[in-house]
Amino acid sequence: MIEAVNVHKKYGDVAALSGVSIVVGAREALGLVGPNGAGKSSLLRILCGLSRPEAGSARLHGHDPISQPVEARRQAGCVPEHPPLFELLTGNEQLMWAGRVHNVPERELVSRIEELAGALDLDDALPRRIAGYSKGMRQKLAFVAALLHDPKVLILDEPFEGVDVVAVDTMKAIIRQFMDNGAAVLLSSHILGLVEDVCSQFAVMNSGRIVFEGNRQMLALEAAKLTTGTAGRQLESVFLDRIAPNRVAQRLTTVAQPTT
Amino acid sequence: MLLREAVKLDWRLLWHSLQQSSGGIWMVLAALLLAAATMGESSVRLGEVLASGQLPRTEAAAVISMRAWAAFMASFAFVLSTGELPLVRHLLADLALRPVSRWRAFLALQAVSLAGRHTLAALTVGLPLLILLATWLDGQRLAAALVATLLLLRLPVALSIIGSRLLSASIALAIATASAILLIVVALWFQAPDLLLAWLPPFLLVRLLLDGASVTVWAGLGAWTLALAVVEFWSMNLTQAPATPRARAVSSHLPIPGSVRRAAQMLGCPAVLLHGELLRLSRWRRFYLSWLMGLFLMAILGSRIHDYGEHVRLVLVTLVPAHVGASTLANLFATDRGGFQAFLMAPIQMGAVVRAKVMAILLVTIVAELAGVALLAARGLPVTSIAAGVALAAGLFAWSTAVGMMTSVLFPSPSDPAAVGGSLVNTSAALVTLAGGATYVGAVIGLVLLLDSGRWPVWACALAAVALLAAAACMLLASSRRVTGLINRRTEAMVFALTADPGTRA
Repeated sequence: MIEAVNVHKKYGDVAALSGVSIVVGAREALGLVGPNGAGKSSLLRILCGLSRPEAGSARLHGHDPISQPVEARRQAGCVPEHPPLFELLTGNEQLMWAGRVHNVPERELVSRIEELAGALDLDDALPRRIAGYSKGMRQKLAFVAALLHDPKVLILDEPFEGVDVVAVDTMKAIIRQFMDNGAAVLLSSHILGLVEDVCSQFAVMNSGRIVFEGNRQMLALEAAKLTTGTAGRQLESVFLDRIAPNRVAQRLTTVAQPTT
Repeated sequence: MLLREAVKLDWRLLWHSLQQSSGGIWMVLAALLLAAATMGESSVRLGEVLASGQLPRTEAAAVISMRAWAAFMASFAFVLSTGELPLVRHLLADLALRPVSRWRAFLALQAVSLAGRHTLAALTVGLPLLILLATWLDGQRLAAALVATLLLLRLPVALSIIGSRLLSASIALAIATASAILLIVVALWFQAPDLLLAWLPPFLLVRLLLDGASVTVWAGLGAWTLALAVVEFWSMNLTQAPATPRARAVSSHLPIPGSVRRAAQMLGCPAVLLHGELLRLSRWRRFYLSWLMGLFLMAILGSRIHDYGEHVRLVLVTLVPAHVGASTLANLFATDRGGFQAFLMAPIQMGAVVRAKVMAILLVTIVAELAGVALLAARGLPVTSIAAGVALAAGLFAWSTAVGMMTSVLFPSPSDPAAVGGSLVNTSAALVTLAGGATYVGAVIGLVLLLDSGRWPVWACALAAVALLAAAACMLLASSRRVTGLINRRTEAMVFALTADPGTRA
């Protein structure tokens, strides 16, 4: 289970999080969406133990990532905003390192790496140094590294960024399989269609607050109320309604003008 | 036109480097050090010449050879600290976009290295040196001295240009390692390092100054210049060879001897962390290059240990490896960058991570230190003196570790692991490290000078050395106890600093 209760976070005078609370149970996936600067990454950083809240508390599978970091990290697999990779290692060495620090038995670790890297078409890249990897390859490698110890909690910040369509499809299937096996997943992404595909719960954030929270049925009900919704894209409709209700697509006047 | 643009690009990069606080500080510091060293040397030489009417040639050979090596090392450090390698990368990338022949690209590189930012170094170092030479040498040898000065300034630039192209190939590292080993083997077993050293450029330059226009010396220097030019020209077309994929992508080999693994575990450092650190250290060109240069410096210092100031040289030989290790300790997480988060997300205490990093550097330092000990033993120095030197080196490592742990947490900054030059630490860390290192090394050198001059008896020096070691040990203990708590409190600031683009650091 992933739990954040009344979390506050400030950067200087700017409030990044103002009393945010979320709960993600086992076999659930919460999709966290919001505009740039809404506070999504700040919340995920706190849950991953990369940042401390000013107030409030967080728990991963019952452990506080600040006061019980080792216990909390044992249960969690995180892909933060910047992939946590060592550029001087090869992909294979990075994955072996990630598995070994979690005490995954060697034979099991090798099998898992072969299976996950093979599924994401990474196996050819594994003997090469990470410094030469593309953005998408780094994302895939960080994703595989986060899963090697079979975590009970998955926290993913923009995991699909720069990843090709085939690999995204595989990653979605892997996330679903983890959910089916009892993991709690917190997924943040700007690609609302993917979030809607994968998640069972949804939260829309804006200016450090949660402005909508609900499951698939609640999302459908909320979207149905909206007259400006986009057919078949419920999360996008709710998102636009909560973030910019009076938004009117402005026509540019200084560029893209017809030539006379 | 191309040459003019290349030189303009060089100066633009210099200006950009100066605008960054750390780049500016390092360049000014390097220039000041070079100027101070040269001016000091000039004054001493001038005083000697004025007092005696001529320079005693037998003493001059040993003294000047050391000075030549020191000047060469300083020039090399200057070239690295002024970011010559990023310049070469920029320049070659720029040239690749133009329809220029290999010859013109080669000439552009020459123009940059001769007429670019190193003119600054030439002005700083060259002028006092020329004043000295004009006073010291007769008219016939002045021309040779001018050539020597130019070559001394050009050589590190050529080496850095070649290095920037060749270091991507593992063969270059193998050649460098083989050269270092050969030098040490010759110094140890044949007790005649001059066999090799005499044909290296700095020594050839010294011989040029002392013996004038000898045909063999000119031939040697000509061969070096030609060889470097050919390699530079050849390296213009080098492309990085793609890594050959192994038959099996996943390997579970953990090549750490059982004894080292057990020792690491006893010190609270899991073998997996130590293995990761050793792997990264062995692939970090900057560290590897510093380590090899340290070995060279040790061999050179140790080769003429009996000439003068025996104890000073002994201490310098043992301190060099510790100093090379210490320079990396000042910013332990520099090359981890985003990887730093991997430590924070793994079920391990940050104290264990720091211990693994220090232990990896220590293991590599011990290898170099052993080479130094063997060199000193082969030169017939007493065991007690060598042991004292090693103890003082251990003190320097402990002292630097204590300071480095704090600077790594308080002033972290990212560093491109592929870069060989540029500043590894930010300005604040550099100042703290410099002050810390200078305090310890200054105290050690002061002690040794007091011992050599006979002003302090041996027992008093030994007592002072023990006090210095005790101070280093206390600092290390205090720093080790605080570092985990400090990282926990500063986690967020460290993540922000280390995941930033190295070009944007403060």
